[in-house]
Order: sequence, then structure tokens, then C-alpha cells
Amino acid sequence: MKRHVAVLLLPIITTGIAGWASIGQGPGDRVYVGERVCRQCHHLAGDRDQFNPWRLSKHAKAYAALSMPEARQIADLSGIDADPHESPICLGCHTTAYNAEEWERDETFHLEDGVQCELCHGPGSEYADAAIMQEREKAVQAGLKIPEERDCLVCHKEKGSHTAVLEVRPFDYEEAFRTIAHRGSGGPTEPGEDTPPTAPLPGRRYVGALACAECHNGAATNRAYDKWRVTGHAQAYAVLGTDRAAVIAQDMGVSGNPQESAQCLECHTTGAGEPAGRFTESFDPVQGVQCESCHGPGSEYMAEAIMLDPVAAAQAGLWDVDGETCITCHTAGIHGQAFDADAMWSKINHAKWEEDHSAVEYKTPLNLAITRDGTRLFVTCEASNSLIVVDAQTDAILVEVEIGTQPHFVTFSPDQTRAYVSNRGSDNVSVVDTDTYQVLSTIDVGDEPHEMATNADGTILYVANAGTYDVSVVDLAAGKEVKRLAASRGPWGVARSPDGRFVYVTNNLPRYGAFRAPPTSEVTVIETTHSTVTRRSTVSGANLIQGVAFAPGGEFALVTLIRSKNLVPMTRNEQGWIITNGIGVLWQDGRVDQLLLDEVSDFFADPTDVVFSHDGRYAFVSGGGVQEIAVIDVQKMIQVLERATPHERSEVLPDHLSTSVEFTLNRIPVGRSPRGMAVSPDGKYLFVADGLDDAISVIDIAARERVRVIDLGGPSTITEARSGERIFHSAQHTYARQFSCHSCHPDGHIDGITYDIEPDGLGINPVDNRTLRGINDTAPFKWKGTNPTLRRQCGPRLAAFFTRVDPFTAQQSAALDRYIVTITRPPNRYRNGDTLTPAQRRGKQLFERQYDNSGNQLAPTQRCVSCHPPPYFTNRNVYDVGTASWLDTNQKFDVPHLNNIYDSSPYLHDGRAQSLEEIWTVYNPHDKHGLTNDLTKDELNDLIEFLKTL
Amino acid sequence: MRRAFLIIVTCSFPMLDGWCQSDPPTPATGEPYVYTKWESFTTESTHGGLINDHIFYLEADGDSLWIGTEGGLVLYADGTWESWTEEDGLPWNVVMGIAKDPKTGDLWLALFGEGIARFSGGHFQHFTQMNSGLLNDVSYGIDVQGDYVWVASTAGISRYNQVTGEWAVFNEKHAPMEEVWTYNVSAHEDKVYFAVWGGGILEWDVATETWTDYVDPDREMEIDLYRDDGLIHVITTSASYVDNVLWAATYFGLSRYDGRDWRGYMDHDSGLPSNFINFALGRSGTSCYSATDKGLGVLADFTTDTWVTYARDSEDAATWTAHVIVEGQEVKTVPTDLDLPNHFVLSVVILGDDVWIGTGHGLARGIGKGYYEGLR
Repeated sequence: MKRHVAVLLLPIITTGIAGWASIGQGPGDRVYVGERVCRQCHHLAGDRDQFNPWRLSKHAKAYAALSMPEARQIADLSGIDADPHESPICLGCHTTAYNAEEWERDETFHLEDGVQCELCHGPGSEYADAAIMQEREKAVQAGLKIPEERDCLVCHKEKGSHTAVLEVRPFDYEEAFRTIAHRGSGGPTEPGEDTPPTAPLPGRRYVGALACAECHNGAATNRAYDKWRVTGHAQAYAVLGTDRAAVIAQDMGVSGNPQESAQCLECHTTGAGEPAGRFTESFDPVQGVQCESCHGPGSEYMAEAIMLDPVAAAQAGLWDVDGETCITCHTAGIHGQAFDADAMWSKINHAKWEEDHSAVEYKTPLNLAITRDGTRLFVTCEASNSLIVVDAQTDAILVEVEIGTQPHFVTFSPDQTRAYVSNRGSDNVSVVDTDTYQVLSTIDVGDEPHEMATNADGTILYVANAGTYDVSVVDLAAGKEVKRLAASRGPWGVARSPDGRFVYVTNNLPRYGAFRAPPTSEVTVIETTHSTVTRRSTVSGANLIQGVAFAPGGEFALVTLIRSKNLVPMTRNEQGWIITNGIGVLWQDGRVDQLLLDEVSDFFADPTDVVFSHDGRYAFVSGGGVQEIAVIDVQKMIQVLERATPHERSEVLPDHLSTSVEFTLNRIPVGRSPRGMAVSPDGKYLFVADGLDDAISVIDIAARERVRVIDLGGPSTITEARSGERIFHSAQHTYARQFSCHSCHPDGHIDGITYDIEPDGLGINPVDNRTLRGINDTAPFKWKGTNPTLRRQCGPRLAAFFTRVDPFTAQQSAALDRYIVTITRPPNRYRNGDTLTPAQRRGKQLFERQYDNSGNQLAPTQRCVSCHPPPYFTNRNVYDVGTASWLDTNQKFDVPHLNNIYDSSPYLHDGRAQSLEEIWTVYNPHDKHGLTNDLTKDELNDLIEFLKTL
Repeated sequence: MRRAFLIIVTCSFPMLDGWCQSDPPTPATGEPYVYTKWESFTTESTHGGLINDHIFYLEADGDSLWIGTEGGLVLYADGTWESWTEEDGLPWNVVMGIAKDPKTGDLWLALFGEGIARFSGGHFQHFTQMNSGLLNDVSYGIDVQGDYVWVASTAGISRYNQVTGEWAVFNEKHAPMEEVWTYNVSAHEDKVYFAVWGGGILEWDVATETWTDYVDPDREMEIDLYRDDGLIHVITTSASYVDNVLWAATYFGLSRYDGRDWRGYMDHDSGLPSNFINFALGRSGTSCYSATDKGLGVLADFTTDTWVTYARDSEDAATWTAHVIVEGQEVKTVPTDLDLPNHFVLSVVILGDDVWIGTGHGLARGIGKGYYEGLR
């Protein structure tokens, strides 16, 4: 059998090694060659067999394990929507070279081989040459890495997602190292046999499992390859290299190496005894008992067209498999084991892995629009990725249309023949026929589109892109975006003035500002004649400006806002407030007033949307955190403003807690997490999307009370995650209902503000607010890295610093934890599959470089990748990188993960760096945060372009 | 002496010089338009409306004019002045370049020593080499092509994608740049041109995203050895592209390139008041306005080599004089009422039929009543 190995692999290997030796010398030229190539020298008799232990280890099955049901569960707990096989996070620890470009993977390399040699030892093209490998120093210079414990910990540090699903013992490095120990230390290799290529024999030939995997490792084919890969069949050859195999062989009268014994190989590999010409180049005998052992040599039936025709496949050599096939080798009592056919069959069954079908799908309505005739409500449901159309009279669901990912907002064309739905998760707008409910087209826009509005004649659609901080201007006739207008940060709400001349766009995040300054936010004003920005109204001291609506007469617009007191310790809420909640009044001439909706002992957390009654007498504001709708008497509100002095209007009213009672008529209780609203055309009813009740509250405007609830058909079961989501969006647990988790982490992301949280003095230890997207396995938490788990972060700590009066129970804390881990990270918009741009490619080399621009070797602590290793790009430790300021009592800070780092500015622990560039141009003067001061500006640009792809 | 030598040399080698081989220019059949009526504006005359007299750049915006000065940004519209300085949020007072984005309506500013800024909705957004991918803060020129903002700086060229937020940079590593000090950028639908000080003219083809460089083929720094063999000199200050014709300003004269033939102009053989050209603006493929250290040189009609030169005839002259020059010979002088005290012209822009010039000491508008192209 050894002869087979040599014969089959030699052409590939000899060609490959010659080629690799001639490839350039820089790190950017290194290519992953795969275990097949390593095996040439590391699967030899005696002291040079590192292949067998690896093949029998979990590392070799790591990729296949991603097909198991547990992988899906873990992904769910990691905020990963994608198939684990396509998630960079999963692939980062379950295979090798996942983040390499295609050209960086040689033909001999296969992702299916899981965690193979080069994940730990680095891409091998430059050191694979035997002459280089015999000199350790040369090999290291050529890229050979000698892994240490910290390298193992990149993947093997405890992960909350995995411990919740699997029985994972704490990682013991010594034990783990013994488990994967590669016997032997190398040495001179014997010259290989110069075997001439073998001419293929006519007829059916063996193609090997990897050839089968080309079709049989997708979801449609039940990932049959992966199922095989985790069975003993896939290890049948390697197992012959164990001590136990040697004993069995001896008992059976086999002398010598079982892996060279025809008797053993007959049942431990495929095609044993066949002449070399009976194998194609893709066949690899060490893969063990492969598909073709049971199904016959595949060269003639492997074509898809043949395989789809059972008769043709059978004629081409596809064997029927039954119990008789198995007992060819699994004879009774073989190796002292009884053969249980049923158990065996179950183990190798290629049918789909049994999946958990208990997943509950909620609706989570966020926004709605009502037709001009008042008959139908169109409701965007974020969780079910659907648009639900409801009969506004009978409350019946007329239709539920599958739409894009995470639909957020819906608006109509002026003639109401079309509904436009923004899809926050798929970065586009669906155009829906309002009669047939067919999705007619989708229009690509910026990242995370939120609210929208057309111009008066319906030719242009303005879309607020919260992720790219801009507004898409869409030509609806052409069905495409024609330009982008720069907004401020996190544009959210959109409203058109009654005269059609302007569109107002609110911005959820404050502008970049000076360090330790209160937030200042913006409402971006677009004139609709030429679609240009004409004004940027400044709203001082405010953030989370989301909802916007014009008074029917157009004399002013209202926006919802909160006012975060980020410069004093948040623990001071017992002396007053942390966050206040209110509205902004934007007058036509650009003046801005602010008023609070809070009352002294009963705040109005998370004002989210605002609409007017048709007669303009009332304005309604949804309070997401308090589950209420505030009814504002507009005239009284104006009187409050008009009777105030200019000083009072600018300095007093924005923070005055006793004003709202003068103009707030009442608060109407509604369902959980009320979001978008719409008034019926007859002006009698207000419809409110109760996001976390899967319902629409219907409010009688005259009576100012909820009169009915429209059920959108969500499940009655409340999962732990859903329970946690409700807690996250509720202010019930905070002092005077001032705020919810959502207040600082709107929809699980950032509010762009640096806070003074702890009671350690005024202004001491300010911390930047971090995203909650996909953070489960990035522990420790807090910038100081003192919280080992999310539960601790969100449990006792939250009670100590934020909630104050009503700490979560253990059950609530667990639920909150469970919800937070489901918050997903949007797809990276800078990464185009396996391909990097030239700048990104250069940046990657800098990220992984081991030498500075003068040729000096960098210490590990000076390299980016040392502290920011994939897949999360954090080694989950704390370090002093010279970023502590005069306000910090601590020098060491948590190494943040870098996935989607582009969407969570500002940066550093205290948010001083407003851009990625500033981390190094301003805040790394002594090269403590990696050696970067030798970089030219264009090199730094390249590095940043690469960082954006992570 | 050098000039005389040049003429002799170039015409002594007709095989090397297309200009000497070509037919003599068609005799003038009419007169060029001459701007005789001017309005002058200084800080003093506008009572501070024009906040600074050092006028670095002019940008037309419909009927309005944006003015980049050493002391801030100015808008002249409907006879009124509006200005922005650092006190108003302008990140840096020295505005070297201005570009109006035709799609978004935003204004982009090149700030000498402080990067660039986007002026949108009354708010300035500041980009520097420290907080963005901008190569260098010493920005000389800026222009917008599609979604891209191009910036000319001392360290090379930066390009900002307004949609994706990505920065691309071009210097000696990424473009055919013998030098990186870039003075000016001029963007058009299909081409973007850069004047590289010592590096000639760089052309970026929008469709193919490829570079073409134009340098002085004779590679002489002190003389133009072979006239019309290519760009007149590699020390360029601006480029202008109109009607598929490239006009290139250098410190050693003006070049015209129609895609096939080059034509060079120097002060001794044309109406250029000086070879030291700060800026050039093509009004058409046959007409170009050169802002020089000694006045404004207007090639009014390429075909007949007819020029109108505006300058002070002496240091104590009260007004500027227009000289009509055909084939290097003055044929007429016309008095004007342009009274700016300094004819160090730094910028020029056309607004309707009017021409505006910015100088080291004030701004002026030539009123183009009855303006006509070419000769009449």
C-alpha cells in the first residue's frame, strides 16, 4: 500500500515542491499546501509519523463537525445567522486558511481537512522543502511557526457558546498537547522513488472521497461527506498506525507495519490491491474507507447528470448498498467486536442530521403604514423577515410576504400602487405591488437602511442608511440609487415636509466631538428640488434622535431624542438622572428647541417614533422602554416654549423635568417595545407596532385609550431569548424608568458615546460604549477585562451601576444573557468573498508582518496579529498599549475584537480615537500599540483597508 | 539670448519639429473679444465683505462664485458677500482649492496645511492625514469625479470614495510619478488630470482606471529643446481639459494637447505675459486663460494664434491694458478699467460671459457684455 501512496502522490508533490521553491520569498507569497504535502515527509515509518496522530485527532474532523446539529446551536449562541460552514468565526477555528485568498491555497490544500498542520505552523510553501526543513532557523525564516500555548488558546480558550451546548472540559494545555503530540522529531529523509507516471487503465476508476465531496458536502446532499468524515471509516487507514493496531495485527499473524499490510489494508482503505492505473489523481488512499468502498469506483457515474438518473448511475457502476456490503469486512467477531448492523447503519447514515425544529420564529413588527382608504395596514416584521398586510377593519391578516432580511420600515408611493420596504439586514429596498403583494424588485442602497420617504411626485426615494451614515437617493423610475448624500452618524428617521420641499433625516448617533464633551447630534435637511443637503440642524446635548414628523401645517417638525449625561458617573442616578428623554422642535428657520417627556419620578424611556393627528392638535410619541404612548397637546407645548425666555429655551427647558405635565395629556399603555405608529386616514385611530408582542395596538384617539390589539400571528411560546429581548428593551428595572439597555445599545449596537460609569470620581475612567453584536465568545468583558462572562456583565454589575432599584433575578439575568448572544453582526461590507483588493492584500501583509520596514524582526508584542489573532481578532487578554490617559487609573485594557470594526467608532477604551487612523497617527507615539511608526501613510492606509475586512 | 537660440535650433531641425513643418497660421480675419469693463473687489473696497485679498481659487456655482482666500472661504452671490473662517467652523483659513460636487451639491475644500473639508448644509467636516486616509495635509487642489473626491497634495494624490468611505492613494509606488508633489487636479467625466510639480501631467482614465503620464520628452529643465515635441516642461501647476483638449500650465509656458499633437507657448512667441503660469483654464478647445505672475494671458483663438494679454504696462500704471497679439506680434492695445494693484494672477474662472480673476491683491470681474468666441 505504501507503494500506492508514493505512486499517487508523487507527481503532485514533486511538482509542487519545485514550484514552491521558486515562489517569492516574502510573507505575501506564502501559500497553504495542505496536509497532503506535509505528509510526504511526516508519514514515514519509524520516528517520522505525524500524520496518523493528527488524522485520528479531533483537529482532522473539525471542519466536518460544523455540520453537526450542535454547530448550529453554537452559532445561534454566537449571533451567527450564517451556515457555520460559511461563517468566518466558525471557520476560523474549524479549518485552516479560512481567511486566505483563493490563490493562497494550493491545489493540494482542502478546507475539508479541518485543523491541519498549517493552522499552527503557518503556510508551508516556503519551508516545505526538505532541505529547508532540516534547518530549523531557515524554516522559521521561511514561515514555519512553532506554536506555543497562547496560539492554542486563540481557539481553545473557554467560549460561552460552546460550553452552553457541549460538554467541554476546561482547556488543559499540557493534556491537550499530549493528546495531539506528534511522535517523532524529523530527520533526514530518504530519497523518493522516481516512479514514472502510471497510465490510467480503461474502465472504472477510483476518484476518492474529496471528489465525491464536490457535490456531497452541501446542505442539499445532507453534507454526506462531513457525516463520513466523523466516522471511523474516515480514520480506518490512520488507525492502523496505532499501537493497538499493531497488537491486533500481530494477533492476526500480520508482520510489519499494518499500514503496509495487504491483509489490513483490504478493509482499512478503498481499492486495496487494485493496480495504480485504477485510480485517478484525485484519489487519496489514506482517507481510509471512502465512499467508493461501498458504492464502487466512481469515475463513470460521478457526473451530476448521471447521478441524477438512478438507472444511468447503476449502469455506470454505482453499486446498491445493503447489509451484505458491510459484512464483507465487518465479519462477526472481527477484532473481538460483535457487529451490530443496525447500530452501524445508524452511525454511517448519510441522511440529514436530525435538526432541532423547535426554533420559534417571532414577528417583531417595527413599523407600519396604512393605505389612504384606511383598509389595510402594511407592517414590517423584522424577526420573520416579512411584510404582513392586515385588514384594518377586521384585523385579519391578509397576507404575509417574504421580504428581505430584517425589514425595518415601509412607506407607499404617492399613488399607493407600490410599497417600499427597507431591509436592514440585506441592505436593500423591496418594491412591493400593493395589489398583488408581489415583490417586484429590490434596489440596493447603503448599509442598514432604516426609514424612507419619497418626494412629492414619487420619483425619488430617500433612504436613511444607518450603517454607512448617508442617505441613498433612489431614482424610482430607473430602479436604482443615483447618489448618496452624507448624513451625520447613524441616520434613522425620514420625513417629508407637507409642502414637499424638504426631507428631514434624523441621526441616531452624535457627531464626532471633542473628548469628554456632551453629545451633539444632527438633523440633516435635504431640499428635494435637486436633492442636496441644505442644512444640518444641530441638537445640542442630545443623541438617539430617531423618530421625526412634520406638523400638518409644516411650521415645525418634532423629533424624538434622549439626553445622555455621560460626563458624570452613572452611579449618580440616585441623585438625579442618567438619561432624560424628550423631543426636539425644529422650526422652519432652523431654530431647535428641546423638551423632556419625563416626569420627576416617572420617566419616558426610549422615545422612538412620533406622529401627528391629522388636525395637528396632538402629537403621539412611542416610549419603547415604558410601553406607553405619550399624547402631546401641541398648542400647549408651543405655549410652554413661547412663554420662556431665550435663555430658558436653550438652557433650562431641555433638562427640565417638570415641564412635560404642562403639555402631555396622558400616557396610553400599549404592548412591549412600541415602535412605529400610523394614524388612520379618518383620524380616529392610532396604530402602534408593539415590537415584542407581535401585535398592533389600536388606540382610539378621541378616548385616548387602547381599544383593541391586532395579533400578527406570532408564536405564543416565549423563549428565554425572547424574554431577554423584552428585558433588554424595557425600562422597568431602572430607577424611575429612566432607560433600558436599548437606550445605550440601540438595537444591540452602539450609541457612540463615552461614559463615566463608575463611582471613582468625576470624569475618572471614561469608557467608550461597545457594540453587543456577536460578542458572546469575546470574553472578558469591560474595558478592564474584569468580567469573565456576559452574565456577570449584565447581572450584578448592571444592578450595581445602572438599575439600582430592581436588580434582575437570576432567571432574568440568564434570559438577558441569552438574548444578547443572539444579536447578530451584519455581513462585512468590505470583504468580497475570498478576494482582497490590492490595498487590502498589502494591509494583510502588514497585519501579519514579522519584520519592520528596516528589516528588523518584530517582537511578538509588536505585531498586530499577536494580540489580534483570528477569528475574533482578539487573544482575549488585557495589555498596556500606552493608551491610558490622565483620567485612567488603569493601564491595561481588554484587547477588543476587530470583526466589523469599521462600524463601531469611536475607538480605544475611552473613545478618543474618532477614526481607525487616529489610533496610530495620534495615540501610538511610542509604538506600544504595535510597531507602526515606521509605516508610511499609504502603508497605514493599506493596514486600515485590511482591518475593515475582518 | 536663450530664446533666440531656441528658435534657431528648433527650426534648424525641421525633421524634429512639427511646428516648423506645419503650415503657417491662418491670418486673422477678425478681432478677438477684449474685456474692457471690469469690476474690482478688495477687502477695503468691499468693507470686509471679501475677507482677504489673497485670492487662491475661484469656483463657479451657477450664478454665484466661491472664493478661496488666505483668510477663509467666501461666497459672492447676488451682489452680496458671505464668508466663513475658523470662527465659523472652517477647519483652516487657507483655502487653496474648491470643488462643487455636481451630484450632492456639497463643496469640497483643499486646505493648505490642514487637509480637506466637506462643506455641506452649513457644516464643515474635516479630513486630515491624521484622522483619515488622506496622504498629506498640504492640499493644493481638489476636484470631484463621480463619487470620488480627488486631492492633490505634496505627498501625492488621494482619492476618497464618498459611497464606501474608502481611500486610495497614488504616489511613486502606485502611479507613474517621478515626483509626488501635486499642485492641481482637474476632474472630468472620463478623465482626471493632475499637475505634478516636476512630474508633468498625469492622466487618469476613469473607464480603465489606468494612468498615462505626460512629461517633457526632451527632459531639459532649462530650455525647451524641441518645441511641440510634447509637454513643454515637467514643472506643471495646473491642467484643464475641455472639448477633448488638454491645456497644461507650467512655470515655463503653456502646452496644448489635442490627443495627437502638442503645441507649446512661451512668452516670447505668444501672447503669454510670462512663462510663469500659476493656473490655466481652458474655455474651449481653442481658447485658454493663463493666470501668470505678470497678468492674464488669453489665447482667444488657437487657429489664428490670437491672444489678448491683460497686464499693467508699468508698476505705476493706474489700470491694466489689453494687448492683442497675433502670431507673436502685437497688433493692437486696448485700455481697460481694471485697476487691481497687483497682476500676480493666481486663479481664473468663467461665469457666464464674465471672467473672474483672483490675484495676490484682490479679485476682479471682467464683464463680458456682448462676448463672442474666437474672432469677429
